[in-house]
Amino acid sequence: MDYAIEAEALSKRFGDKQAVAGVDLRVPTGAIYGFLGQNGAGKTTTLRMLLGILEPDGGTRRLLGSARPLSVAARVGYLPEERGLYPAMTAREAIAYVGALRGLKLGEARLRADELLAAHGLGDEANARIRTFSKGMAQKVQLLATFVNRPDLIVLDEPFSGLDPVNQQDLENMIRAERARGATILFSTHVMAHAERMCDGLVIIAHGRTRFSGSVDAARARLPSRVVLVTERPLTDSQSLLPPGNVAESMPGTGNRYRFPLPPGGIEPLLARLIETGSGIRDMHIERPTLHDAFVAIVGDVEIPAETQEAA
Amino acid sequence: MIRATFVIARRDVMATILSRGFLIWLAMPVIGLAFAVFASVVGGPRETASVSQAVAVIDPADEFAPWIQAVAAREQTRNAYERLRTAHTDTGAFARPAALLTDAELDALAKREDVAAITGLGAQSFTAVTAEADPNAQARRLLSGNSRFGAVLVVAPEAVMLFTGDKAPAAERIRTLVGLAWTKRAFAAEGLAARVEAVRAAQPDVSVTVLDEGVQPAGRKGASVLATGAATVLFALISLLAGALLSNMVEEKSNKIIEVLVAAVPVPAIYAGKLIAMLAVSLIGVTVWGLLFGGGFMVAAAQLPAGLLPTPPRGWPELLALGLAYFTCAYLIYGAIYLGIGSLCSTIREVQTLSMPVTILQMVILISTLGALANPGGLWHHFVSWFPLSAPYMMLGRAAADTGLAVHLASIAWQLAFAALVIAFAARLFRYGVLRSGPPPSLRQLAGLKPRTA
Repeated sequence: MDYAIEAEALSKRFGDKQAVAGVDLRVPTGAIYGFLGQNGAGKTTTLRMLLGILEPDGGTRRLLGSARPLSVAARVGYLPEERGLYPAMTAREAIAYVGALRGLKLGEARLRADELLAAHGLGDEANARIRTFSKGMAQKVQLLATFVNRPDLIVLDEPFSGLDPVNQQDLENMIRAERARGATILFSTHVMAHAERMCDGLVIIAHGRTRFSGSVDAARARLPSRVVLVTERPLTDSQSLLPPGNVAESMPGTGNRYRFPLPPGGIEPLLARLIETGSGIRDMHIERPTLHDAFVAIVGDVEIPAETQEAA
Repeated sequence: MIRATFVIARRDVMATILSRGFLIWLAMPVIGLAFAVFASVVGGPRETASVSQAVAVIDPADEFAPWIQAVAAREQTRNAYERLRTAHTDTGAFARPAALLTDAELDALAKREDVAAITGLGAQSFTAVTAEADPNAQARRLLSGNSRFGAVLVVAPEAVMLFTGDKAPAAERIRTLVGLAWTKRAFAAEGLAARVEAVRAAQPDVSVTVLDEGVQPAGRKGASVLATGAATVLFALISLLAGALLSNMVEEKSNKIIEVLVAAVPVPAIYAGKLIAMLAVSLIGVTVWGLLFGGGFMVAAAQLPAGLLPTPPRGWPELLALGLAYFTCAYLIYGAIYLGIGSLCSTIREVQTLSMPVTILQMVILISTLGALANPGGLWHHFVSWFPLSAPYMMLGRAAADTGLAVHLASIAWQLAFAALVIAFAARLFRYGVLRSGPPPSLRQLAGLKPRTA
């Protein structure tokens, strides 16, 4: 398999703080990958090391096959977490400038800027100065600038933050369109819904280390599915039929609700026994864990220092 | 990297030129000069007591006045000759030192057009006035009111009195001329004039042998003035223009666009681009100001007699070309240093704090350079000539005096190489000091001699 990004044991220390302690990351070519982690987990530092903005203290990285990220800068698009444009520039010039920095000829970059602005509802603002834009509009201009050189690899650091729902949807569509064009996309986010909807794969880091790498389904599979059972009458004596870890929830007027892990043998045998008790089953369904649940669980695993956990 | 450098340079040039402040910046020296002229006219003294070089001579015996008039005329010719001799070479028509010229030679020189043109400038004139009964009262009356005389000489048989008004010329000069005229008259009365003149003319010329490179003969003061002037003008331009680079990176850092730049192009390309952009903007300014002030200076100089202004040994075109080259070198060196220092600042306040030490550093360099120019030869002279921070000023000063072209070419190459080194060093410092947000690296790490460990 071809990888657009390969990183192994990346580490970075800022003074006394170990910002990144060993991140492994592989993003297959043509995939959309989410890069998840808590605040301060080391996501931005890792992305900066991948792009060559920072030099890692340890580990290796390859971007589009090159160990020198700047040598492939013309094939990369990057949206940093801290957005920034020259306020005196027009939207068209701002996008074209980034294109020129990424190796486009200025004339071609201007044409593409016009196309992008027109395609995303900013055609009338092409010659307006950035300082006259709202924060959201300026952010959108910078997003468009990220795509202007039609990059093979797009790295987006918290791209959805600061965008309204309509523009978030627009950005999702843009990312999918870029993937359809053949680009590889890696983005960091706190919003699990975006990752769940869009990502072919995830990398979750905590305390500067990779804790999970794989598909969304694999992440959710880290937690067992749970069964929700609602009965007319309390199970009382029959609650022992339920698997260990069951929890009763009192819900006046809607029956008696029980939650418990999905038994290894499935729910049919349990269902048969519950019918025999005559407790009046109103509802019984399986709830699969969300990515949010999986993320909290994966990140929560490392609340104790990683070294201690590994030693244990 | 070169392409990225010019993309950044182009943006910076356009951003500067199209900004509202650019025209004000361009016009500021002209506005400053206009304001200075206005202030001197409006705020200056209402009655300007300009010095009058006209001296009235009241000589009741009517005997001394011709002597002082002749002596004054010859001394003016001698001074004009000396000024022309300083500006020209020490050979040909100006071979003899002015002090050894005889009266006959001075009378012949006075007929030369170039000499006469200079003696006509502010020449001191002694006008014989018919004596009245009370010469002292007559002198007071001549100096009262809106008199054309700046002083009055009253000649007595054994004494001379000088009366001066508010427009008096230098009394010491008049005293010297009176002394010379008195002596000459005395020699003539004793029949010694011809012999004294012969003895005077027979004095040996003191030949000058230059032992140290760069040392100019005593007569070549014009070149020295030119050297000091050239170095000072270059210093003033660099001080005014390169200082702006201290705050040049703050815009990118405060706009947060620095990360977009650093992710797309090498940091040295960012530095070089910004430096080239500001150099281009500065050259636009220097060209405009040069045309304005230089044009004005040339118009004024054209009114002066030929030969009065010192001519650089290498000629004006070559000196101006070297001036442009050294301006570029100095701008790149100081600009790269300022850009590097300024890029470590996050706010304008930090930049302002750094401005004073930078200004002091510049002053130290200027003083060292002027000192070395005034005392040519020796180790210090060579050190200042090749020390990168002083080399542009010093070498331009030497160009105004006289130095071989090969030395200049070597110096320019060295200075450009040093500017490139500063850019590389500053970029490395920026990557460590700003982007890594970690502890500062050691000098060995900055020089790339020692890898940084985790």
